[in-house]
Amino acid sequence: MILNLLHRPGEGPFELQQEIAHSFNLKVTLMLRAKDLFDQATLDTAIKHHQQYGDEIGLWFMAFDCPEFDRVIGGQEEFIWLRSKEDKQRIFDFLMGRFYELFGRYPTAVGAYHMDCESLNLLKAAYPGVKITVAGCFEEGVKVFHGCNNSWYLFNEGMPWQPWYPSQNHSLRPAESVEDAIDIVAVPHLSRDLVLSYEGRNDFWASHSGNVQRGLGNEGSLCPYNFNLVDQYRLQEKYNDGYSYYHVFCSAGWLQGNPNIQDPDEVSQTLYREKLEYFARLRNEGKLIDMHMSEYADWHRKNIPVGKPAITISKEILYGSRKHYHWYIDPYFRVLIDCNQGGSIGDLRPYAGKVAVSTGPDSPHLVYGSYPYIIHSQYRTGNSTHAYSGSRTTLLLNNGEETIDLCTCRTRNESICDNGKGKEVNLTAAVVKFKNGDTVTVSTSFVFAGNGSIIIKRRYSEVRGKISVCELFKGCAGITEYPVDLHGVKLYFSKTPEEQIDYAYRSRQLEQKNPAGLVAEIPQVNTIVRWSGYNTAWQKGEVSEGFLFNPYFSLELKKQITANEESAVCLKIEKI
Amino acid sequence: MSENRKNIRMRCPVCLNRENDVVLLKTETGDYYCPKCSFSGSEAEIRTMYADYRKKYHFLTKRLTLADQELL
Repeated sequence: MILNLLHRPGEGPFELQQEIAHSFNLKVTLMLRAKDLFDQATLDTAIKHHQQYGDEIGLWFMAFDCPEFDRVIGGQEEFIWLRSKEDKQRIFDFLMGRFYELFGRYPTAVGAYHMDCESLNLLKAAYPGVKITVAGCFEEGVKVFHGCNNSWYLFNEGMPWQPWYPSQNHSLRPAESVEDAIDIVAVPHLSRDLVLSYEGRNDFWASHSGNVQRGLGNEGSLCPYNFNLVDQYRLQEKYNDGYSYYHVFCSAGWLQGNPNIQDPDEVSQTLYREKLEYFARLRNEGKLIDMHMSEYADWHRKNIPVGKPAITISKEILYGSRKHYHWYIDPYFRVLIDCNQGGSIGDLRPYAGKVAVSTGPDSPHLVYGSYPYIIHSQYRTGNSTHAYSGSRTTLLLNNGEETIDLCTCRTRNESICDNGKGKEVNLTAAVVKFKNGDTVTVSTSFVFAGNGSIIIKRRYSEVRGKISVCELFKGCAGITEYPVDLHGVKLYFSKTPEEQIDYAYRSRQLEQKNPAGLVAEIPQVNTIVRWSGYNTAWQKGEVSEGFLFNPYFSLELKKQITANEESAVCLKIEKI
Repeated sequence: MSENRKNIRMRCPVCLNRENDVVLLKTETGDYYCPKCSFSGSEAEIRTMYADYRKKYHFLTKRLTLADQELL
């Protein structure tokens, strides 16, 4: 696994933090903030550590609260991605210029909690030597907004969990080609728990020991979670050609007097030290390589081609739930498979639609830097627990008397393999038992062929009773928990496109026998969803419009099954 | 006890149950109250509630190595 360890000066025991890292001979990238560029004491320390320890010095586009910045730029907006286009350019020129004055060169490593595509395009046009940027916080958005008392306006959901090449028109969408890419390597701010960042606050459960304390994930100085999370990421090497990446960036203020931490400072400092000690031990065992950020950028360009897919096996490591999820990402989509709900898709971001987003007061998107979803089972209900169900996929099984939703059957990962076409995920079998004694065992596989499609295969065995199945795709569009206007969505069958439902919340339905495919055009995200049979003669299809109290659309493929039969559906995501 | 323990600010345990960080304010008697919800209580009570909060983390003190996670 490759480690990038970042520090930045600021309020708190910065020198202690540096001493801890240097005592283990770990490579540090020092991100100087705007105000640090005008603070001689900080600059002296940074230069000394660069000379003595080889720390890389980079530039962090934050902490604008100093008289020099105020004189030249002004304004209270403290985050670069929320500035106007004009301000972004002026800030880059001012701070990059100051950096050049101080060091005789421009930084090659930069960052902010979020770098939108407008910021990155401006930066690279003016300063082509910049190689790498911290560009986003994996799954930070709605939950942290709530968690910070509705005051943290950072919306970064829908991005990769590991480094990527950002695309020209949305920095959180991995580029599909060199032409589509901004010429920079983007890395996530911190490595986030691959389960809990979906189910809860991504800031609590991350490679940030102070935030783990914030989530009360420690008992004093006892915090195995800090090490367990490192190993959660090391586990991903097995499924991604030996590659995994870990990012740590904890500012000194978290080691002393942070209001979100209720432990004494020495606990915070001990936890941080022990975490870095673990990295050093792994490095000494040959299991981890620490790099400076720019060094990582060079490595990434040499070893990770544009468009390379990635997959996780995400095992829950704090609650003891034994839950498994999978994240999969390629230039067409990012998808989450919820094994605990029978393999339901719980998050789907249609990158193929190439939605264009930049942030700032002169953008229609304002603060919303996320890449939109068409399924989100956390924010948009998922399986029903109260009123109607919401966005998800699932298999519904019916024996003539009762319908059972496969979402209610817990499965786990059985295997992940490469099948020559792409990644294949196989889940453990789900035994479905009806009240009258009918049963069926369902084994599910997902095949990612790398062409914008997912084949969902089901194998039915030990069938007792007359069972019919329905493959359901229930979708919408959105960024937050709140419904987005779905007017403009069109629903139809691929064989009869002229007969369509123009979405108007009137709960209408179209049916077709022996359908080839079902289609939803979602102009809100420039995306076409195709839900089609794959080597399967589906007997009936239904496309359904929702209504205001259930603002989704549904695509359903239905057939009767027999013992030892297989059925499959192909989900394809395309650009309108 | 650490010297700086007096300076530790407390977060509302009720709001924290909703995963919301709200710093408690102090009453004249030295107890704490929440500006956002109606919780009030002593530090001892708050820390008891923090301990309750942690109970759901069944793996809180469990070290899960890479080998353990492969089998998890």
